Amino acid sequence: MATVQGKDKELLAAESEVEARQTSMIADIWHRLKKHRLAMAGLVIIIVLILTAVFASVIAPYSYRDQNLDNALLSPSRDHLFGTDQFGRDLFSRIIYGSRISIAVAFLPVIVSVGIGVLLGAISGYFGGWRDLLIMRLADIMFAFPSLLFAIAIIFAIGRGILSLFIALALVDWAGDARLIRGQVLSIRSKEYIEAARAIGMSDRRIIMRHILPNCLAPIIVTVSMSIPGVILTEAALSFIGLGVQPPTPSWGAILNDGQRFIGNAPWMAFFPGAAIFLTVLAYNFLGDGLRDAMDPFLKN
Amino acid sequence: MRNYVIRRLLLLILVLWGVTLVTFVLMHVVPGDPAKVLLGKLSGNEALVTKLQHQLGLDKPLVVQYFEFVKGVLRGNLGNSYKFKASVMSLILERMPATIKLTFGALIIGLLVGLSSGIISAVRRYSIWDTFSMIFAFIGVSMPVFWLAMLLQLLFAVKLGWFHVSGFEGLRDLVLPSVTLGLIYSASIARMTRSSILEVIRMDYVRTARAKGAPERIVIFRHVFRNALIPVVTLIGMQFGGLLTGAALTETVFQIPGVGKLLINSTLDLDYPMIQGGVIFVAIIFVLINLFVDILYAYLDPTIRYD
Amino acid sequence: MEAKRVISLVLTIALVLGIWAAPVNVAADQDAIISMTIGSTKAYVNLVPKTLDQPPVIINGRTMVPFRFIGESLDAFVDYNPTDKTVSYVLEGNNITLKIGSTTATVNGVSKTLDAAPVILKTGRTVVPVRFISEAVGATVGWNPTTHTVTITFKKEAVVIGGILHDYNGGDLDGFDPQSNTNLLLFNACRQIYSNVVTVGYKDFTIMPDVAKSWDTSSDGKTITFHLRNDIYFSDGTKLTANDVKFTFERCFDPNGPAYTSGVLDYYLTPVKIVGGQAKADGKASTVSGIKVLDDYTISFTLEQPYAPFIQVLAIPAFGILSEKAVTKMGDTYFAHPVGSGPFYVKEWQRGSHILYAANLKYFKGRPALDGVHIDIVEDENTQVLKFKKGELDVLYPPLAQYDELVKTYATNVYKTADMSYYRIDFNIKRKGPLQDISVRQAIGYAINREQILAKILKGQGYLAKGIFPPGLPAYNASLPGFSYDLAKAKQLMKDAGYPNGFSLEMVMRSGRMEDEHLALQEALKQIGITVNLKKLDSATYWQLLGAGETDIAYRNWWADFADPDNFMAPLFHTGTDSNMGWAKPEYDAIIEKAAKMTRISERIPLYQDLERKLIYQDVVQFPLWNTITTVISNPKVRNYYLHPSGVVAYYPVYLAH
Repeated sequence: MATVQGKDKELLAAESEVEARQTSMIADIWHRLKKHRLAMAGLVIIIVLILTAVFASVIAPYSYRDQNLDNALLSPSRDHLFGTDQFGRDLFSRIIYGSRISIAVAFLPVIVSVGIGVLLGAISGYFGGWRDLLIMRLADIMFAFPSLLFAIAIIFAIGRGILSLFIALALVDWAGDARLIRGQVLSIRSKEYIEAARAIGMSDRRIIMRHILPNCLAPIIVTVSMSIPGVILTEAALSFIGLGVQPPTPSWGAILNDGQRFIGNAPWMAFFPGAAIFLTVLAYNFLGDGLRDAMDPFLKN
Repeated sequence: MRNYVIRRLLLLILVLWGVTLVTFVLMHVVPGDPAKVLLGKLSGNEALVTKLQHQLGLDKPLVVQYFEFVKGVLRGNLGNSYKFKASVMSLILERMPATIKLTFGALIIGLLVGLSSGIISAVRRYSIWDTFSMIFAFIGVSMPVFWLAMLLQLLFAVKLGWFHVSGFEGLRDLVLPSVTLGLIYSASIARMTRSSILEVIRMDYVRTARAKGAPERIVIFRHVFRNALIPVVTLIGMQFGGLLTGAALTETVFQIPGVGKLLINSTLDLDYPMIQGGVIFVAIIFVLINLFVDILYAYLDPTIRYD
Repeated sequence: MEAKRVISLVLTIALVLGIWAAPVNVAADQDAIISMTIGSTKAYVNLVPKTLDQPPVIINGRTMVPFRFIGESLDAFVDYNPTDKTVSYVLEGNNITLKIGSTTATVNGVSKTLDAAPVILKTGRTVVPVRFISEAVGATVGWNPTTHTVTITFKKEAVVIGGILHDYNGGDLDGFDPQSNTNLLLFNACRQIYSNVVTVGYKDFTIMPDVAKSWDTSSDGKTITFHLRNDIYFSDGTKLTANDVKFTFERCFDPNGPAYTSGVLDYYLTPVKIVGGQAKADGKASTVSGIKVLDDYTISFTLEQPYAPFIQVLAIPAFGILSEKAVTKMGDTYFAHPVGSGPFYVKEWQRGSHILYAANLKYFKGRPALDGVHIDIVEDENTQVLKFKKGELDVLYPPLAQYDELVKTYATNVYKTADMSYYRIDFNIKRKGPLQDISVRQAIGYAINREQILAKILKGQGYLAKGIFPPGLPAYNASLPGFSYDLAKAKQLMKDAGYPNGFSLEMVMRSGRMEDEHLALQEALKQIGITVNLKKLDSATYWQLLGAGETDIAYRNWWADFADPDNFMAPLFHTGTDSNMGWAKPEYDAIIEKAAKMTRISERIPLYQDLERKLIYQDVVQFPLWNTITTVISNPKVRNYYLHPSGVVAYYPVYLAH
């Protein structure tokens, strides 16, 4: 009994040491990240966007739906920072409220989608064999479905609403990420240090988590940030057909759709939601780049 | 390698079967009765609905419907569109040329602009080129298609008069839509290329090659590119699918009779045979492209082994 | 006679005959001569007597003539803008605008000075100085001092043969079977490629002979016999006979045919009650006994009871005459390869891209002036505008979003017409809920500021409606009280009905169609506490839900298919019609059926007007919003592109000037 306890104590000590190292690792990464100017800017922007979404009703000067037909299509001015739309609704307020849907869409479904894709891709690339076969064929089938069609079908099936919108967006795009990660994993797997790790006896799970995935971080980060506008625009397409948010609820995508008809005489209607999307993409990208740079030294282990 | 390819081709059939099954299930799980849809305003009339359902064969048990469908596919008959009363196969083939031309046009421009932009960015990191092309990439990704399309139409078709505003009656009409789609496509390619090259450049084996004294050009071409291109190739393959159907918006603005728009409209019209046939068709293309991508992997990185 | 003399005689005769045989001077054919006498309401246009509501007068020594009458006689597009107080003509590409009370006028944008200002006289008609208007349009004026007659001679431009008109559609067809759908897109196509038993004029619903050159009605009003022309050929070369007419109409009753489910049968033919038609539709007979072929060019239709608008129904594009041989032989392929006998035929159809109509050079009324019409299928509004700006399209229906700018830029080439359309809000009174309370429905009516929506969202392209029948339709009742915008009253009604805090309603809408109006209506109802939950749907689901009556309110419209009040009553309000909103009552069915049977319009009108009052003012089943105006901007070289109140444009009279 005494020996086991003793061993436990050693184990505990070792574990706490690892933990300490891990927390200090996170602190290190954070420390390095802080130095990266662009990444910080990105982080700030994202935080601002989140705060905007949360405090929309406080920040927005007007309602997002009150119409004032006599004030239709006014160009940006002091009264209306972003101008008004064809109903006289204040565009600035609509974009603020719209951030709720768009930020949520940019976060949740994308993260879930990428998460599924990364997991499946890693399993597929690392283990190969029947797992690879199954997952890749599933991915192929998913590919065969134009994602928009699949999303439409899902929403039709579940019923309209914001929840189905999110579910649909989360489920349709994992195939691409899976393939991407699989590709990366395939090429890393054959490297010597992986052989070495396996020789030592490291569990597969650990190898994947500690060695392989971190090296895939670069493409993961890129796809996440590049997926965001895609998801927002898919949401726009769905809203246009009537499967996304219902009018007059604003989302950047829906506002963009409205702006399409008026691009000739009221270009601000399409410009500002486009700019908002652009800003979000930029922010995610900078943050992502910074994260990758900050994690760089730890990737080599 | 040959065994691998043969095995993959056999699996193709498996995948296609999976596709037919999933499509079929999805279409029938989706609430919506094509008979009612076709009747539109008159769908309140129960007698008419039943009659049309019978005409369309919708009242047969699902399994029977599925088998009839599969039988047809094997014979190359994808059924007849409810809406157009013509064979699905002919409707798709009618639109294939336009889609193929547009897709390749976009691909060429996307690759040219994307790859070169990404490479320059990576090789001259943090220079003015880098900033410029990254901003361009970000704009390209967030800019809505119709906006870019309209700008191009306004400038090159109306003001300069070099092209038609829309239409698809000649090779010249290809230019504007290809550029529109291609530029947007190139944005993610540029981004991915840049980041991937940067990634690889830091790798040990590159340093080793440099240490060995190999000229910079060889280092870049032989070592960096081949490895860096892996995720890029995946991306291209991935986005290719998106091109085919995401082109629907471009097709609408430029009035191009393509498959993308056809599929989307058919989905909304609940034109079952059209949807099923269209998806299968697209599926075949994708699977082939993915196979090609996988083969390309092995060529790019000989260390990759397929068990 | 000597040989020389014979020869010269022969030559002389030949010369004379030659002159006669030479093509008539086209221009001479096309003179319009208008003669009017000061103070007299009798005028002559090309020797045809006409009655004026405003005679020409002399004001301050200047001769002033009625503006609208002259314009219409010259076949100009006449417009009156009440906001600017301007009157204008567009005639052969020239735009002439005058302002009431002003001596400055514009001709194609260039200012000119008049010696006298136009005035509106007691009759409500505008008169303008004759000398100016004649010079502006390029006519010559003659004056007879003895009879005080003024004569305006206008030499019309010669029709130019040839050229292709570039028009567009905002969507694509599914096929060219006239019985497969009742949408405007298909009607427009069929108008060009098929002939009907009778047809309508280019600018209104006047009935004109087409395949039938004449017809007689029996004394009991139930049998109409048509005498058909014997010189009509289909595009495949076969001759059109009475058998083809019988085939066309019998096909509509075929329970396996397209008309059975497309609405063509239900909306248009069922009310006609052709003897034996229902039997065939029910599958009990294979032919329709009431349609009898008497010989190759004579056919008779027997109805169960007289149906006043019968002849007009035949002109609907859905009843284009089909070739029995072609349809039977081709089966389903006919859908994409139509065979008709109209002024054009389909030369090329690339789905999703374009349709090319080519002129039928053997058309029995004479070939069309155009060589063809190229229809681009352009769904995107911005693309439509850009194509027109560049000249790739010859006409443009200005999209609402850019209406103001476009109409301003192309002011000299804007044409408008009042549509015979009726836009309204439908109330579902079948579903249990607050809508079943009549005060609630009235409250909704009072809460909508129709003028503002019409002005701001529809850019003034419409007139407020007071009832179901639009102006121009017999039975249009100008004396109906109409509705006012009264928010306070609306709120009071809601309170009195027991809904001071409002309630919620469902409203279906389609994506991309009239979205802005739906949003405006939603906002309007919010002001009286009603939360409208908009359900944005795709087209297919939308029609399905509407057909099943699964929405509380809907914003809908109805366009006239022919100019008879029955067309606004039977398809909308008779039991068994398109929406399950709970409006139909046996009492109303009786009125509709009774009025359809009578033959004299003067007797039928009071019945319809009474029903209209009952439906709208008493039962409040719908809330009338407006009747619309269609605006088109055209390239100045386009002539005779007439907008028809049904929304269907005929390309036959169109030509492209140099």
